[in-house]
Amino acid sequence: MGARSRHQVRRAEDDLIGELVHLTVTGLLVASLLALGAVGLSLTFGIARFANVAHPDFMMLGAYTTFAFNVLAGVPFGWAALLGVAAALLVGVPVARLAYDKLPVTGTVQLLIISIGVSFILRHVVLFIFGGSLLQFAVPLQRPYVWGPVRLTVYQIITLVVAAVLVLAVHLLLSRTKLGRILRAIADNPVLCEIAGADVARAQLAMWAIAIFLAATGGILFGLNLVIQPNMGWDLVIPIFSAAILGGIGNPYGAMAGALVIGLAGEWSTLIIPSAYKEAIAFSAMALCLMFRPRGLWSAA
Amino acid sequence: MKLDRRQFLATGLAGGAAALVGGRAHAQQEALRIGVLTPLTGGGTVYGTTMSRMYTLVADEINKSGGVAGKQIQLFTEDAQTNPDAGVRGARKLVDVNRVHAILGTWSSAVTLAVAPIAVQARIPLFCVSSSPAISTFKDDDFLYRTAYSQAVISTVYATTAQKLGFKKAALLILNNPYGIGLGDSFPDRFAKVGGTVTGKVIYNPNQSSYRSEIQQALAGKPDVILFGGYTPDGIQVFKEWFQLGLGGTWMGPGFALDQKFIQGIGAQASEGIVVVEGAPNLQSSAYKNADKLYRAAHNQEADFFAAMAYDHLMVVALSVLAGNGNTAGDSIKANIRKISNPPGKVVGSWADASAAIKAGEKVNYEGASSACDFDDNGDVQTDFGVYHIKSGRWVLDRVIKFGELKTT
Repeated sequence: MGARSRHQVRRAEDDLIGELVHLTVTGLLVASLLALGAVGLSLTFGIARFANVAHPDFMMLGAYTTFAFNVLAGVPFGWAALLGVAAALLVGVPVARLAYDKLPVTGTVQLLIISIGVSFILRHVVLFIFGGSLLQFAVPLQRPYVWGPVRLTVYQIITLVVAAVLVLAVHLLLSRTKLGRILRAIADNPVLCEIAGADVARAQLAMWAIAIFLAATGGILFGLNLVIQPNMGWDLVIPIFSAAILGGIGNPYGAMAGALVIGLAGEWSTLIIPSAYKEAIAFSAMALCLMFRPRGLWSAA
Repeated sequence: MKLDRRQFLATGLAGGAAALVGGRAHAQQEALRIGVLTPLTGGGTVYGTTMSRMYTLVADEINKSGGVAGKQIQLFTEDAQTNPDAGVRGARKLVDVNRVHAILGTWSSAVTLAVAPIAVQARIPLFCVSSSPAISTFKDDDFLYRTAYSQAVISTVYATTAQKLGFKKAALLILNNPYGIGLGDSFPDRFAKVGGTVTGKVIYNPNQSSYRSEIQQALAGKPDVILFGGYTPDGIQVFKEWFQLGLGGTWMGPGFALDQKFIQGIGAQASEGIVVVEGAPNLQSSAYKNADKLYRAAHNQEADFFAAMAYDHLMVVALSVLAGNGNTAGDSIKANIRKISNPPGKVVGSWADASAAIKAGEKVNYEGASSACDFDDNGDVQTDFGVYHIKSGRWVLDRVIKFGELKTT
């Protein structure tokens, strides 16, 4: 009798650990998708100094351009994704330059409102061309690889790896290259930077390209794991902004940490609280973190 | 042949004049004008298209046999777009411009409830296939009729189905909206009444970045069946992630969510074996056999529940007009609907039989293609249910559950 109950306790412990591992993996997947949006958002906020509400719509744009190559033109998914990112850059960068850099407005609030307009235009152009129904890439569903409680399909492994590699690449770019130094300098003091002879306009172009590249990649991975629809970017506005704000908006490193907190807190909470509340829990975690670190997790950096 | 501009103009004018003359000839006979307001775009497209085709087939059949008391049936079609705004615009046009004598075919409950006041105000009958319980209680002055089931009975249907398929333990994965929560509130009781237990109830929000933890939780109690209470878009995402988790399990859910679009969305392999519950046509009736024959001849497909309901809508309206000696006023149609469709009377199912009996002065009881079409005081009927499972990407009928088999209390 005693042995049996000890056995049961042991099993319950194993179950709990297994569930925790499963939730952690799921949280990391969610965080990967959010991070690719939040890092670019934070980068543009730090340099262009306004909250670009249309940023998650660049994720949607990447998913649709890839869909066009993959499904409409019949290009295999891998190549379609590369072409899709290129097409998203070709569309997205001029749109961003035109709307945010070339229009004769400067105020933060004006740019914020313009970005809401850009978001509407992007979504409705996509709605006009592709229609409103759910779309998916022409890739078959996969069975998962199973390592104990960890269950991941090859797409999910790709998602985790691509997100990690890109986030690392952004880190190296910011810390090790001349462009990175200029970008960080502009974030600190744009006027001084211009006086010192840095090519601010070119650096801004590079910034939009990096941000849209990350967003488009994130959108493609989102579409690969779930579905593609015109509102997918809009639905991500709140979690992506939360991740960026939690990281101390304007700071790309913070945005990664913010995405991790939002992703993991939401999933872990389902152990004790009904899952319908997991978004609320994620945002409560954000509020709690900001109470102790009001300028964001990475405020010291 | 090449037309120059002058010839083209002349041909056009002649054609136009012919149309005008033709139109006047019809107007003298005063057609029976029917408004068709099905969704041809949006979430209800599949059903709306099927229904719209069936209205045309029934109208052709009746018109070929000489029409209703000498009146030809004229259909006016508007696209309800699965959207209440578009539904209201369409209904206004049908009522104000086409001056129709009845509106048939609203699919979404939101559209039906938005259009119903227009029909009531115009005093013309509205036949819908929506499932909201609010349609039973709507103050419609007896102008609103429904040939589909009400959601109020659906929990009982799921419980009965689960019992008949031998499932003892069930879990729920339901959408966080009134429909999902309503199912979550009513199903456990009904399932307990037939000896089942609920191992877990997981509520999910739409538009999440992942449903993996919800799926794992729903499966945690090792249920025999998981009842899905959502719609097609979230269904595709949930089932895609479920399949890719590779955890197994049997699913059951409503036909409007697990439809052909859903199967296309997740593929035949992932949808294999899912149990689908949907209203079933009245398979043994002569009306269904005729509806099926018409639909097969024109579209090479069997008539489904929605096609059968469309058949009944137009038959009931046409027979009511015939029973009123050709009176197309809404109040006269309304007064005759239960007289020709409810017992007692000679059971009829086809236009030929029914119109002959009515002309001979007999009392008829129209036995419909979708159900017995015995309308109660709320304008509701009792439908049977079909239990299907998905096999190689298609629904395959397992069994029919008669309305009488449901333990409703």
